[in-house]
Amino acid sequence: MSFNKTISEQIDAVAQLWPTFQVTESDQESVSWIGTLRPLMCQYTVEIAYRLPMPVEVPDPMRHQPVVCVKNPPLKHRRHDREGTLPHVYWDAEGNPSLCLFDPRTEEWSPAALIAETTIPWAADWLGCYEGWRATGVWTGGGTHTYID
Amino acid sequence: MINLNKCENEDPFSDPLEALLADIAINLQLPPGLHGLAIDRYEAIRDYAEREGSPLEDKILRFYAQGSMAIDATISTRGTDDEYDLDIVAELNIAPDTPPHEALDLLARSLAGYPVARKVERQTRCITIRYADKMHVDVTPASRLPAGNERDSHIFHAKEGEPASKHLHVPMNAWGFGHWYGLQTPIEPDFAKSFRQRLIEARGGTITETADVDDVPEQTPFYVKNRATVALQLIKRMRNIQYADFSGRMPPSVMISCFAGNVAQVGTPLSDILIAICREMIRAIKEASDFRRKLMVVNPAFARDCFTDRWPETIGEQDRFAKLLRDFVADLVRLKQGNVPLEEAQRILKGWFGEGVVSRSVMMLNERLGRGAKGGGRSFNPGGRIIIPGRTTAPATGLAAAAGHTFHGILRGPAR
Repeated sequence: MSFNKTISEQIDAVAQLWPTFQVTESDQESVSWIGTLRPLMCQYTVEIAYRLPMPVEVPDPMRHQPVVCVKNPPLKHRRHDREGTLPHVYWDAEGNPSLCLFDPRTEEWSPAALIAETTIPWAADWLGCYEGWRATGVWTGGGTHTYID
Repeated sequence: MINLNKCENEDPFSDPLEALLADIAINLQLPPGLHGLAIDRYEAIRDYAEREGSPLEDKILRFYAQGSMAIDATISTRGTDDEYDLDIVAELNIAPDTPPHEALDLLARSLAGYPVARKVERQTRCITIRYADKMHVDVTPASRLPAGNERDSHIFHAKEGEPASKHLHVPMNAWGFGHWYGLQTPIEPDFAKSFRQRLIEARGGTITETADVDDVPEQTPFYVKNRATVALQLIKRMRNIQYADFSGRMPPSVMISCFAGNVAQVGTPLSDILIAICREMIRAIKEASDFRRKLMVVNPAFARDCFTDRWPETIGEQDRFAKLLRDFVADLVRLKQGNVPLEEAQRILKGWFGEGVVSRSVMMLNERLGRGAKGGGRSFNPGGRIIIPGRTTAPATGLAAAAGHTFHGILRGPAR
């Protein structure tokens, strides 16, 4: 059985691997970072917010995954694309996108994983594929979708 | 001497701009299937020209490659993506002061009726053999000079219809230049191996085929062996695209090759060497124009062989080229230092190198990005740059790695 990583472990791992990421808020249950990623030739400012599952909560990767938002430059949409106006994102109530970096139905991520080894490099992957999609119209990163009415 | 950054011991394509530029050059290379064909044609032309009963029977001393073919910098011809122009010198056993029209007519008669060609045309300095598959071979007759360096020669200039008073004997030592260029631009083994592997992958080769990328023999024709030659190919391509609708002469390839040879430094990143060659041409043109002189570049192996004897015809022509180079360098610097998304980089690069080759290069990069995300195997530097090894190279060490993963997302509407 794997144990959830503590917030302190998450902060240490990110600081070690991703020097551009700085903690903006943290306590024993949650942490937020802001940092930059430059997967190709363009630099993006990315915000990550994460909250540990409460002891009484049943772990659910969908609900407990880190929320990754691109703050700058703004993501550009493409109308009528088969991947959606932005590929592989979740939309919040205000219509802001966050990145869908793994399929919650798989075991690719859980609170026992280090964000430094999963979420951040996967966000770089997403941004790289996003740039490729913007340039060519083809999303090469693969993935799955959940369809809602 | 220009100081350029060194990039030894690094994956030559870990930088996305380096990878994009290399992939553009890969899309310009003579297709591997045409390598052998070009060599076969080269030999067959000689056999035909000196066949029994030919005007040149027993008069051909040597056939050798010149121009881009001699320095492995062949790219598609001006205005095309799939036509290739190869250059051969036919060293003839005739006097160097043979009247130019006689030398050209002699070679033209010996090649007339060449059965494999679609067309044989006499030009001002060479005979062009055109094939149905769009390859052209230019055969230039030459005669060795009695004194001087090895293969110092005359070639013959005689425009059909012009009076003999306008005909010329033009000093030339293409072999000496090729030898000089080779010394100036030695093989960069790691780069040559990675470039060749990428070329094979781009042509749909299998991993088995890449086994032979371990050795890139220095004498293997047509395979690019160093960054300076790739930079040279990119500048030639840029020139071809920018002069595609221009009816006059364009800056000659051999002149650009000479600047490339002068600037080349082993281990310098491709984008840096590309910028350095252009800046050196800009500097030389400015120096000439400031004194109201036309640019003059001579063969380092034979000073009487002037590479700029037919271009520029005016100072305005060289200034036009210098402006083009300045704009090109400004865009390259912006791509290197700026904050440019791939979509914008593609637009800029298409403007310089043409739609097709750049689209294919960006598609290749995009496919690599997707493959890395899905299957892992790529790594990341601390700034988040994605570093994707070739199919047969080991992942980089000392960088962050991550497992492959499955993107997910919410789409509205019925499942597809």
